[in-house]
Amino acid sequence: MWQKLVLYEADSSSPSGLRSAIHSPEFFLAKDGTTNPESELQATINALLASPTDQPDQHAKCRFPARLIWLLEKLPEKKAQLQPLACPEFSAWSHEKKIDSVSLVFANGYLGNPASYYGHIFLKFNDRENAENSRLLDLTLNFGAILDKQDDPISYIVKGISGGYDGGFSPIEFHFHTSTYGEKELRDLWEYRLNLSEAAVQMVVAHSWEVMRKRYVYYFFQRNCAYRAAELLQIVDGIRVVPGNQPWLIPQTLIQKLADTRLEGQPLIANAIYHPSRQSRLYEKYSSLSHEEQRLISRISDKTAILETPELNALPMEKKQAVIDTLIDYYQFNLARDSSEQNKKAPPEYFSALTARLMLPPGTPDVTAQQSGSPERGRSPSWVQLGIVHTDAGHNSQLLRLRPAYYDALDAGSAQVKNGALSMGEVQLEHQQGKLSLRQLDLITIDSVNPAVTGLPGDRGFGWKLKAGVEQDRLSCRHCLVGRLQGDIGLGHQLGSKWFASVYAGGAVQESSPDYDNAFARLSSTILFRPTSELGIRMSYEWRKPITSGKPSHSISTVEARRALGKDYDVRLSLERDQRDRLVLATGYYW
Amino acid sequence: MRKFVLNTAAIILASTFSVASFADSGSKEPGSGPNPFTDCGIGAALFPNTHWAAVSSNVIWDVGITAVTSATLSPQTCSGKKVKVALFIRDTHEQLAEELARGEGKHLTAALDMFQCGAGQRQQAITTARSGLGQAVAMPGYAEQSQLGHAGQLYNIIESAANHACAV
Repeated sequence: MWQKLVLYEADSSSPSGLRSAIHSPEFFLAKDGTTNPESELQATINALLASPTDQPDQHAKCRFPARLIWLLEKLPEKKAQLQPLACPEFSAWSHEKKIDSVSLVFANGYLGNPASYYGHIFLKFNDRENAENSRLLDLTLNFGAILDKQDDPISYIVKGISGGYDGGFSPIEFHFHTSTYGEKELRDLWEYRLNLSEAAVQMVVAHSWEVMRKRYVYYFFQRNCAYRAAELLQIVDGIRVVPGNQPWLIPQTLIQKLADTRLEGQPLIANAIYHPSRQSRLYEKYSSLSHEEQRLISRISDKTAILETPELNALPMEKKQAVIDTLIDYYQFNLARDSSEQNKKAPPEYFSALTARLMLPPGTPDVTAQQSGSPERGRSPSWVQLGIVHTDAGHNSQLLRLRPAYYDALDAGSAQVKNGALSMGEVQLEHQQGKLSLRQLDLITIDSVNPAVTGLPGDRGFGWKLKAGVEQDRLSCRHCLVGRLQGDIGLGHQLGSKWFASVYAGGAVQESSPDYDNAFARLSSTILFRPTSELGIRMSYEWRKPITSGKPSHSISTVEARRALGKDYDVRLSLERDQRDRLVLATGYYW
Repeated sequence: MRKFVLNTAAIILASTFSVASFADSGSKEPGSGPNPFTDCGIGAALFPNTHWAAVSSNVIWDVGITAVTSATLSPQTCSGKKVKVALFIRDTHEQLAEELARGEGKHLTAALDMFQCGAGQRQQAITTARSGLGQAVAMPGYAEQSQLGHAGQLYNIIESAANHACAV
């Protein structure tokens, strides 16, 4: 327990073999407390036993309330001297001991920023006196990298991965996050309220106070928000939610681990609360309207009709309210999507809609936000696939595909961008006639698609793709690996609930190859069909034109079907055509 | 040193103008006390220029806390509680206005809770504030005001409604 309280981690360069994850001097009471647990323990006991001064907030009992709780248990003979002090600052921060539960909040992935690709997690402390609908005032504790100065994007990524930034917990009220994530970044939040005893809640709150605003080293892949939030929870005996020995920790993994954990015979997650983003709320409201009402919104949004149109006035009151509420969400959604300037202002049409709504009677039309599925019940983020390959040249081989994280167009879940793709470090190996060869290595693949559910101006499905790695120059060639950087921009559109279509234009630069020399341009289109939540089919067509060699253009077609087999497995059948046909039947396991 | 003084003067001037732009137009209730946006030094300084990375790399290091602390140091004009409400309204004024238009919502409940307006008087406060917002948005030039201006006006409207409906 002591090692957990001072966050000691294994470190071969330390004389004790341990070093605290925190390097802020004020976190330690012994001079060598960073690396010497015994010395820090003795200094802590001495400081806790010291007489109070006229500055109680500076006393060890107020600075380290979790250490005090633990030592009260361990040193019953010192109980009288270890009685807690009145600590004004800690009391104020911890809502005068009115926090009665702790939640973990998960924000789904966001492709607008590399640091947020895999989602985010933070802690929330629930004040028992805040009514359910006033939970916006609850306190949160958020772990992130500390950017003391503005770095360029490349430095930001490199430093984030390699430990170039400090990290720390910062306190702020929940409404800041609902505003930032839900309204500005259009990300859904899932809140998981934990089933903890009163003593456990007190311990987590006390330990949070100790580590708050202290400096850690931040590592994007492992010592990240999910790791540090889980570490705070693990101060409670019986909670073990940090997966061991994995070189990365994805926030969704932690949520799934929480969902599988029981504490004293009870599920650790007491209940889950969905906080839909502005985008989700817009799509729900828009989808609940009739086709005539949707057309009316379309005409008002593209300014071929005015808000005072007789068609709107002729609607029943509840429908009129629903149309104007949808328009209000639409204008704010558009504003959030507009990345052209900072400190953006809503358009005049937004204020007209607000004015119109204020002139109608109060009342909220009944629209329930539908979740497509909760992240804690989704599949695990990592995936390995084994398959057999057959080509029309008569060659058979075996395929091994490993994707450490995260998803593709056919298996994106509720925590990910639907119909999109994100993976890093995906590798494909092929085994044929006793030889193992690299077929593909993707450093990064991103398909940032937008569903354009409404099809209104500003929601017309602009998307982009980026891919960097090594792959076979052509499908027909097994030994023509080239390094390739590919990029596309395009449009996508959701067609009903089951179909999604997209078209893209882009190209690639690469190492010189027999077919493309150094670059090619391309046009591509994809249709996704999801008849059920378990079954998905992707059909794509790509036309490529070598730019520098003057060689003729050619096309590549792919059909891939995926069937989920429970939460942990899937089976896929794909056919690719590029001079040759390549048929793959494979089964995958999520872990 | 000279550069520092000039920069400081420029920042103070800029903050003064941005705050003054809505200070006069706010429908401040006599006796309702200071508006933290105008009277407690919360101005443009509380809208940090968020770097593309800082917004979503989950870095929130004391946003607003410094202002709360410094405002609390001026007991004659501001209380920490008022500044806390101001920060809430600054961050959520659009949702608040929309919920006022619908007549209900969790942001609205939270704001009224912060003004000590209990469940029994809440509906009356909402009706009053809804009417106040209706008048404000109908004023010429409302749409052109800054976000800070909208937040400051909304603060006055809700505080005034809470004073009317929820006074003990």
